[in-house]
Amino acid sequence: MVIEASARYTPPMKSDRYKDSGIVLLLAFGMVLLTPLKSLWVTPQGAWWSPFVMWGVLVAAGAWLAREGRRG
Amino acid sequence: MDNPLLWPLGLTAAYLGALALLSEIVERTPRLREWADHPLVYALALGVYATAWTLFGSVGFADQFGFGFLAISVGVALSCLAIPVLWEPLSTVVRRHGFSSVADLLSFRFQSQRVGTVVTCFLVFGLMPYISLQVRAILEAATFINGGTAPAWLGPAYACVMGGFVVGLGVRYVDPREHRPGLVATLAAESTFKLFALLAVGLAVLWSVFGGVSGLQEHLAVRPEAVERMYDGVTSGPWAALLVASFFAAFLLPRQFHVAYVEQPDQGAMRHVIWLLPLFLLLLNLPLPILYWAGRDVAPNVIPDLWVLATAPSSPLVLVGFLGAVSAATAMLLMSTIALSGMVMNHLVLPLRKTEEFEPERLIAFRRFVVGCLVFAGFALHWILPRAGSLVDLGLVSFVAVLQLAPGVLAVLWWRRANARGMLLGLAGGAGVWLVIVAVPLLNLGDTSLVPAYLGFDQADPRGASLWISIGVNALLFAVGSLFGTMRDEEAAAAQACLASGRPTRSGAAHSVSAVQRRLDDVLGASSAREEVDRALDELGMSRDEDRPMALRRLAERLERNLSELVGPMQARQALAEVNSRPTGPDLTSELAFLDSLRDEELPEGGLERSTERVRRFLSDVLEEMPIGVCTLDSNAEVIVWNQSMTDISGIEASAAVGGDLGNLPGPWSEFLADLVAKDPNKAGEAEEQFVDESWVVGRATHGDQRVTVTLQDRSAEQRLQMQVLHQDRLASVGRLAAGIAHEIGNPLSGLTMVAENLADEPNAEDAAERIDRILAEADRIRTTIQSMLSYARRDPQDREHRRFSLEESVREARGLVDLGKKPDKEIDFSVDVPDEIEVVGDPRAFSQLLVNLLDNAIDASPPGGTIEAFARWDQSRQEVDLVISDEGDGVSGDVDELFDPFYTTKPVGKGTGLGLNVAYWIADDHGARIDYERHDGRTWFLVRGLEGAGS
Repeated sequence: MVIEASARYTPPMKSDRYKDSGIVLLLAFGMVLLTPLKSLWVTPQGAWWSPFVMWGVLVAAGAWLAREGRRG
Repeated sequence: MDNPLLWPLGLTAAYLGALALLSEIVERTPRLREWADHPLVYALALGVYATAWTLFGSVGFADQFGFGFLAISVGVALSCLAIPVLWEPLSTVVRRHGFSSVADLLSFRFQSQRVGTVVTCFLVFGLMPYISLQVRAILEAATFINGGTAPAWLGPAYACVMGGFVVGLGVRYVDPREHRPGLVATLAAESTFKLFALLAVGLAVLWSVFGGVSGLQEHLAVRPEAVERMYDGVTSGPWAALLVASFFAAFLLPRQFHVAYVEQPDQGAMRHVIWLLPLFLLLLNLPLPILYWAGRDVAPNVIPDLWVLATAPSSPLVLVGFLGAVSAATAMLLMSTIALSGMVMNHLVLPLRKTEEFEPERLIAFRRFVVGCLVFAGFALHWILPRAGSLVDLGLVSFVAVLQLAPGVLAVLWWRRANARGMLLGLAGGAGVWLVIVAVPLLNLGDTSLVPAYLGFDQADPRGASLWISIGVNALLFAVGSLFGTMRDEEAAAAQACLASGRPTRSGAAHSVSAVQRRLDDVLGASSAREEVDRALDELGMSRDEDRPMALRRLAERLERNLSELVGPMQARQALAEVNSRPTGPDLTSELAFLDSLRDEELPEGGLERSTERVRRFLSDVLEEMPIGVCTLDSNAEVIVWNQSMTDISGIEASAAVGGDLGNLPGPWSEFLADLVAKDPNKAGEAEEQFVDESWVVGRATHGDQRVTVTLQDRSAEQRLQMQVLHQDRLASVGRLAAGIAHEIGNPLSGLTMVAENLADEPNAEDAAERIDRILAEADRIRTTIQSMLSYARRDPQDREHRRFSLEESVREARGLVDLGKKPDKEIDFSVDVPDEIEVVGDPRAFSQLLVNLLDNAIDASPPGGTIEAFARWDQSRQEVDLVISDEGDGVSGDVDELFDPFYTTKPVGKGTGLGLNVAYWIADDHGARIDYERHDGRTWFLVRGLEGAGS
């Protein structure tokens, strides 16, 4: 009985990974939005739509994070 | 169609009616209610964040700060990435305690009604500009459609229609405890419509003004300054300040807090929001730059806030854009007033009310009144405020106000040291700065816009400066007040309960359901109190007769949670505080039971607490599934743990046992367990075997710190089997003794018969009396023999005795029995040396069987003419009796370890059952002793060691 229960039990690693990933993404996009890394998407001489591309990347990162969360 | 307002107002009325109808249909249709709980619907409902500000104001904002307008939505997208570390932990706390607003959360965390009241007042005043923004946007749009003039009746008429709708639809949802799929579905429909409206107008303008995407590219290619100007807002404007403000507004704005936490269908739904809400906002913002560039070309004379309408190429599209804004504004008004009215009720009205006047119907009616007042206050502010600046200026005032709650909310999750004094001090400081440099200029009461410049901030960015100054002052005072202020005990307990790694606090116990209800009578009124208690009892599956302390604590906990949603957490706690009769000190076992009562809740979010809770639940499952009954009592002899095996053994369900006193358990179990627990703790772990309520059980009590754990093992089946074997063994012995019995009975019978015949021949002989005495003596000998045999062979398992008896008598009786079975051709001598004063504690008849088996075995092993010795000694040091049965046999030739195994025999086939020594071993074990096999001086010893007894 105990052995069966042990087999069912999985260490709670996924949830921590989900939270850690959230922190990493938050910091990464925080830097992209608030520090000189803004130059990655602030292109006065270039395309007007680059802020939306950056935003699209954020949405994609969020979708990946959400999948991590559902797995955990 | 002379009146150009006919269509807009008619469609507005129709649209609002359709929303109300949708809400009603969803509420009444079970399948639609299920669909309304879908994560996509929930994410779209959170799109209530986008108001008339986004639809109209953002274009005007872009005219001032270019892509800086995106900050208001990008900040929300960034905030969504913080869902795992910020939104979800907050959601856990909010759902666990049943909060319905941020004021509930903060007043509970800081255990201060004053905090709740201050937060409520500040939010009501701080959000009024935001509400008036919605009113202004719609009225200005209607005025634009009407050709630039507005009839006098337009404002009041719109106020009435909007107020009626919000109050009317809010009626259904005014009780915050109701599940609201209809409301969530309405918000999602509203979000979908405004997205559709903005995309439709945006696409139409893209083709009508620019001729498509390539046309727009060409348009911008020849005007590079248009793109450069857009980016200026990101590099030099209040970009960072707006990003931070919207980051927190995403979940701290009352309507956002309400939808995110109160209307959340389940914990998992929030994980879909991480990307769905940013995607929704991305699509919503995509047309805005196009509308802005088109507006600059097509409608330079119209205020930028209305370029969405001014650039629409056709009247139907103007109506679509107008309805999109109406939709956004209506949803904002609906949710903001519902959320604010709840806060007003819980933190302003109820703390001041006369308790006897409290009835749910009055509460709900009054809440409707508050909703109406808030809507009309928004309209009033619109009429009062001078028309200066853009729509966004109004919204930013509210965003800066909401941001003042951020330090307190962050402290809820991560700063245990924060206290009410710090919270109030910080809020006062932040609100003061907000009032002076943000609100005063808005109301045109004075020019304080230079204050930031005096403090060294960029004068060109007053919005950003005011935000940084207010939140900086707030955070500084919050930290100083908390670090230098004292923390009350209840505040520390609430802080622990709210920390990201914390667990819920427990309510104390009352002594009866009636006691709980009596206290609530004073607070809620008699009928409401009874209703609430009945509801809580029903949810917990308890009866009104419940009097177990643990169960009553659970009832108090549930009531506090239910009432927290209705009257606010402070009121709820206060209402139930006085029925708590139990100190709230640390009590591990009670805490365990309390945590078990939360098993149905989802695991805490991440981190060490999640790991710990999973391991705890795993171990709890193992404990539950153990084949040994386990029962744990706390220091008050209350049952805390009662596993399934305990139920199987005793027949007492855990629901009946847990939370009650040991003395309340039914029948003999109460006495048996009480005896076990009352045993000297120094003899911890000593087994107690008893026949209790049709079961043979072995119980052990282990005393721990503030708890006693009792384990029970059901040995009924084993005992039954053992008794059967013992019985079989006795019958076999009787069989073996049959010849001896015949001889023992036959001899006196022959003598008796002969004397009787002689007496018959000589009835008057002188020694007739003497002969009759001989007959009686022989008959008595026969009777004694038969009685002895019957006593030995016939025994009911339940007749087990436990008493002190003479070992010498027992040995003598056993010797008499085995004498019956002695073979005539095998002369054996017996030597018995058992002092008369030695006594043994146990079952004399079972012990007699042990001796018979050992003596029987010795006879079989002894050579003809051998001597069997039986001697016993009292060991003073061990306070135990040792008994030896020895013979002159050759000893065991095989494996000594198997000697006491069942069916092990070295005798010829048919001569032995192989059970004799095994049975003797069991009986010795039952008497707390053991049998050792030894060889000494050519003799075989069976040494029975460790018998409980007495001697001298």
